[in-house]
Amino acid sequence: MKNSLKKQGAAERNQQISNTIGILIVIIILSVFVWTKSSNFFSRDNIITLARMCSVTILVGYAQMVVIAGGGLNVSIGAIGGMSAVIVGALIKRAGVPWGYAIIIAILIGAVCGAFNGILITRLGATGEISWLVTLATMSIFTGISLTITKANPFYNLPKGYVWIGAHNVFGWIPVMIIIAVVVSVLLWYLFKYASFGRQILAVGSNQRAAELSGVDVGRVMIFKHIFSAVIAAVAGILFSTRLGSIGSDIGGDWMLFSFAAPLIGGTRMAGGRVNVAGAFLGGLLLTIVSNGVVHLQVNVYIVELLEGIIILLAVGLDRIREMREERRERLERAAI
Amino acid sequence: MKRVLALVLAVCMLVVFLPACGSSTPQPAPETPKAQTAEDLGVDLSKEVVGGQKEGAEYNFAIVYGGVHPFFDPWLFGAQQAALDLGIPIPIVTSPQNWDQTEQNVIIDGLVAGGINGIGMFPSDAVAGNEKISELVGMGIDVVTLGGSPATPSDATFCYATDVGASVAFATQAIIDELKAQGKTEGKLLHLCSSLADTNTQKRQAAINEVLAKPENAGFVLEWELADTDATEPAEEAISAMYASYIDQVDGIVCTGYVNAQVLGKTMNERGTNDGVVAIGIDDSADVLAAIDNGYMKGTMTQSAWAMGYVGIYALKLLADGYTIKPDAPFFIDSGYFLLTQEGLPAYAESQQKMAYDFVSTMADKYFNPPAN
Repeated sequence: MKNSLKKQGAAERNQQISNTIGILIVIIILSVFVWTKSSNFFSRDNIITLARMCSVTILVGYAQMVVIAGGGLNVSIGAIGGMSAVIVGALIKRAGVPWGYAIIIAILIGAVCGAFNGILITRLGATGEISWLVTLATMSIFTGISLTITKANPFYNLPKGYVWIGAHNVFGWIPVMIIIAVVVSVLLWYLFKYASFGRQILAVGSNQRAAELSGVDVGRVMIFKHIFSAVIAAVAGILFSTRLGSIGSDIGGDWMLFSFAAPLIGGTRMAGGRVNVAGAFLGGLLLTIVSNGVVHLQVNVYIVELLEGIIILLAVGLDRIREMREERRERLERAAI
Repeated sequence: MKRVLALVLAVCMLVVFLPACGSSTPQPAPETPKAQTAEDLGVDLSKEVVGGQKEGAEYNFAIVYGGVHPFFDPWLFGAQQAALDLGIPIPIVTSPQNWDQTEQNVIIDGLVAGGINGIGMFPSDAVAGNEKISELVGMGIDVVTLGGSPATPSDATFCYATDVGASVAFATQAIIDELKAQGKTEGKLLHLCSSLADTNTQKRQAAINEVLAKPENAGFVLEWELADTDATEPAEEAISAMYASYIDQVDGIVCTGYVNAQVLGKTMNERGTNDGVVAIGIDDSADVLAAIDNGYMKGTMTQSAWAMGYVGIYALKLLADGYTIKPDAPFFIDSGYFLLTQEGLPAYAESQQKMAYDFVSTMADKYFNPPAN
């Protein structure tokens, strides 16, 4: 029994590694292809652009990944990210709060929004459908708050220190934004790899009833995973606004697709119970390269969306095929045992 | 644990909600100009005998935006100023959250139920909006469309909006003229545009191509178009990638979306250079105005958003007083546009208001028949 579990763990690790390598290969092939058509693709400017843009995509992907891991989904990620950024803007520009404190307060309010989602979902039944319905409703609430605060007028002339976060490159090459994304990646990797709470999220995502029977407080897990998700979304929204240098109510408006695509491309199981932090990181990078690549390739403006959609579907499809092969191999191995 | 969480949650939600709900009227944007009177700006409105409330007439007006967008912000102030000038009740100014005709219809239904008898609106959807306009007119409610035209024929009294094609054609020609002045005989242009499905985008594309097709503009071509860049993130992503990829090949940039112009202005300000590109933005976001002031952007095609609100209320007042639109009056009335450059910045606010006052000073004579009695 012990040997069987060990083998299963090893197979899971192998699958994650294979998954990560697979995405890496796709990224390399795509990058080389774009580079052959546009020599500026590997220029310093473009690498910095890619790093800045993908840092937000990666964080948005993580915000969704944390929820998916425990079973369920969160469609209010963009609204929480946008609202958090707007709160920073309002605190700085209207209340005169120093930007550092404004960021902390906005992230805390983001956490409260996550708790709000989590408590409602837990109280209403903690199913996938409920999480969709609740977060759909709260998405509207959080977007409404952003619009009420801004009246659609962006906050301009943000403090230099605040904008520095989005504009500065360490050693001239490494944007501060990507460093923040990497730090969050390491924390998440630790959470899911070593922390008991991370394992509890996966256990609930894998089989909620079994987790409950083995003593996991499912309600607590549900609430805290939504708090984590909201905090990451808030960081993403704030980070994007530091890059933009202004804060409008439309931040986060189109995060829905890639919030799911990044983790799913990266090997996170939609049904929950399995995550791949490195894979989600690469998934976010791949999505950014696709958007960046179509500009470099000067793709006809009428087929850009079509092309982006096809590439994302291909990436998800290839990943699924690889997963099915792995599952088949595992089944055969188990049968042999 | 859950009780503590619920308590913290309730307190924090109150902290967020209370300031948001505390005020029923939007706070003025910092850059919103202080309204000048027509007299201050040298416009004579004395011949216009529309001021004051006519006995028996009702002036319950509303202005409804097409969706939430910073472009609409000055409308509110224009509408309020018109009401003050005309001595009528301050109109309701409202908006659907999204550019969605169904949402706009719900708001309009609410206004009608509240006794509104005149609406100035930017239809969220040109075709579906027209259905609502017909319904309102059928109920005896006056409707003027502002900023964006409904599909024609329409039952609205008229449409007061910028001729988007003419405006972008002017911008394109201004870019080419500037490039020619720099001694260039050929050049590649980039168009930063909104959604391709937007009929205004299609009009703008056609107008740019028309300008480029002129024999005197031979050598200048529209080489690139970055579409769907009228939202912050796609604009930031596409413009950053364009800068990293082929900015050295671009000679001129014409922006036709509020947000893409803003992001381009921000990028130029951040880089501290225009990279040798002649760029013309659209509308008047703070980043665009700063880029013009810094000398990185040649200018911006602007229209009087303030006039939309002002003219809308003025026209509704005429209709409520019994004026009728002349049978030969055009349905589409160009609200005008101009290229705002560095020299024009100091007097920009006044020029916006002057456009409105100039227009209404002759509006009744030109487009309306007076009441029979």
